[in-house]
Amino acid sequence: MALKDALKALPRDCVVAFVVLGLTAAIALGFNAVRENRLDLVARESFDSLIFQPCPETLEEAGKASLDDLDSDGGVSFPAGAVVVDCRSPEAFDTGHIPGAVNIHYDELEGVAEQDVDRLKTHQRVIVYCDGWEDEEDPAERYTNPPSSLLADELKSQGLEHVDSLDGGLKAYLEKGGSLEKGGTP
Amino acid sequence: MSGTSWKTNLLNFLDLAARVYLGGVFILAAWGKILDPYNFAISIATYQMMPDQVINIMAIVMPWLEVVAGVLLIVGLQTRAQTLLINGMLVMFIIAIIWALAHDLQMQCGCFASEEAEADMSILTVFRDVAWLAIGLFIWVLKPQVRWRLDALIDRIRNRTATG
Repeated sequence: MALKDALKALPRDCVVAFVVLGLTAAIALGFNAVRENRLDLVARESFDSLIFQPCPETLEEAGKASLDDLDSDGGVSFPAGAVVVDCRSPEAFDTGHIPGAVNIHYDELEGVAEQDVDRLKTHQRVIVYCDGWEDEEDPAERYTNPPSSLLADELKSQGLEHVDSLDGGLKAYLEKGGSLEKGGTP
Repeated sequence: MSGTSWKTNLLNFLDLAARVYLGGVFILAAWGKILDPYNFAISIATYQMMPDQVINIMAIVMPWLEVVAGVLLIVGLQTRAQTLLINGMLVMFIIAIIWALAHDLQMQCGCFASEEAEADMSILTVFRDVAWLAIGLFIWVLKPQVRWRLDALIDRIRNRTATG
């Protein structure tokens, strides 16, 4: 019975609802016109660049290798057939990198270029490093997900079989007495 | 107390509780959106359902509609019309959330425009909105003469005036 009444009154209630909607829209637009952080009625730019797009999930997890694992003599040499990848910025790479390393600057949002993956596929093993310096503000966060580990995971996901990130990064390498090479072709 | 009056009192109480709850939810949801319409516009855009041209207007008008409909629902003025507006918005939200889930959009629903108030969207968000829709339908089917509504008061005054 109550439902019947509600349905009977529906046309009238719809009219009232539209009136409320119209008055509210007038209030809202008026308020927007006078407020400090007003919105344009029509967006001037597309929202596409502002929409959060999550990175594709990394499917594979690469290993971690310490310098002690790589060089049983306690030195800082890398196994034959391995390529060392420096994932820092080109500027940081130029100021000094592990001799023979190639530079693939890793940006989580951009991922890894296909030609870089193809280039690395010619090597038996890939060892990725980043600076390994402690972040003064949040060292814990730094070591939870270092860029070298993220790049190694991505390379592994792209089909490279033997990929490791260097535990402790460049810091550990220098502490072990490793030397740096400046400049060079990335 | 007779059985009829007990039922009527219960209905009056349920009506008031439902209106205060649902109206309160909508007012609360609107607050953050009114303060930061730009952020709300991005939330709407994230659903990737609406053309860019209408997103800002929606972001400007919808929060105010939530407030106005919420306040009028609580006081019980033109209650059925307010439930139509609120239920209409809820149906729209439910469709949008199902759309986003179907397209695997990893996002918060933007319902409260506050990260603290929201977890990532899931099927539970749909159930929550469906529950609110059920409350809205309950209020909609009740007769306007239910006590503790302005509608009822206006009705009584009108009847008194008509009978002289």
